[in-house]
Amino acid sequence: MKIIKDEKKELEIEITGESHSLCNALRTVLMEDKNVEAAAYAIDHPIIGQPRLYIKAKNPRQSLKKAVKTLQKRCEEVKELVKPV
Amino acid sequence: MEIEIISQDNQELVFRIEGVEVSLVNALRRIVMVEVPTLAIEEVLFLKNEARIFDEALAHRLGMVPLTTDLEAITPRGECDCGDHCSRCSVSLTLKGKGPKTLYSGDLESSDPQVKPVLDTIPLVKLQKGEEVELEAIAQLGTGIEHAKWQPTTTCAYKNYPQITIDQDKCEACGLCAQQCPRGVYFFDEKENKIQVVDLENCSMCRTCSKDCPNQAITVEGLGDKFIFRIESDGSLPPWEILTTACDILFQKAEKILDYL
Repeated sequence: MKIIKDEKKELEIEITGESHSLCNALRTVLMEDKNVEAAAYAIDHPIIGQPRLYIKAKNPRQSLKKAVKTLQKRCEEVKELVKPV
Repeated sequence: MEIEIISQDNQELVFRIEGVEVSLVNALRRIVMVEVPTLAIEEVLFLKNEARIFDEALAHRLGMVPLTTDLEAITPRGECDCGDHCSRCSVSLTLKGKGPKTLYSGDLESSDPQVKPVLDTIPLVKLQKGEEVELEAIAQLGTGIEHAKWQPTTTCAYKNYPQITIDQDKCEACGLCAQQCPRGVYFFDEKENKIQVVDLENCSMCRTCSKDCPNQAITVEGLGDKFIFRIESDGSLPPWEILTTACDILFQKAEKILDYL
C-alpha cells in the first residue's frame, strides 16, 4: 500500500493487490458518512492496474477507519446469519 | 440486515438478503467465485502411462476433478515454507490400473481420508487390453484467480428482488401477461377474472408482461436493497462455508488497510 496524497482534507492511497471487490464496497460505505464530501476509486488498467482510492472529507483518515470498521461489521453480520445453527 | 434462507443443502444455497448495498453483495460474489481456496490436483508424477492419452492431457483431466476440502487442515501453497510440496500443504492421490477397463475418479486413492473426489463416476482414462497407468497426483490449495479448477462454485449469482405492481383500474383481465410470461410468474384466475402473481421470485425482470399489456397496467421493478443470492458448490466445500470464508477474506482485506493507516 502506498500513500499518494496526504493533506488535511484529502487522502489518496494505492491499495496494492486489491480489486473492485474491496474498493467498491469501501467506497459505498464511505459515501454513507456525512463528513465525507467525495469518495472514489479508479483502476487504470484492467489487468495490471492497482486501485487508487480518493477521499475528500473533514478528516479523511478517521472516515476511512470508520468505513473499514463498518464494512468489517457487515461481513461479520452476513457470516453469522448464514452459518447453520 | 436480514437474511432469509430459501433452500439449503450440500450443493446449493439460496437466500434472500435485505437491507444491504449492492456493492457488498457483489464483493462477496466476486470473492466467492475466485478467491475462496479449494483443493485441486496441481502436479502429476507419471510412473507409467501406456494409455492413448498424452501425459499432459490426462494431468489436465485430473486437475478438473473436484476434491472434498478441509480448509483448516491444509496450508495454502504460498504460505508453507517447504518450497515445493509437503504433507502440510498437499495431499497425494494415486491412480493405478491395467486394461481393459476405464479408470474413474473413484479409482483415485487418497493418502488422506478427508480428501477424496466429490464424485466417483468421472471417467479419467480408457485403457485397452494390456495398457497400464500408474501415477501419483499432488493436490494443493489454490484460488480461482489462478486457474478455474480451484473455483469452489459452479455458479454464484444474485439478482434484485422483483416487485410487480398491477394497476387494477387499468387491468382488463385479458390474460395476455400470463400467456406471454416465459417464467410462469402470473396465473389467470378465470373464475375470479383476475390476474394473480403466483411465482414472484422466478421473475427475471424481462418486462415482457409490461410491454405486452395493452393498457400498460403492469410495472416491474427491481428493489435496490433486496436480493436473491444463489451459490452452487461443486462439492468441494459446502455452500455456507464458501460464503463464510468469503466474509472472512473480505474482513482480512479491510484489516490490511486498518493496519496500514
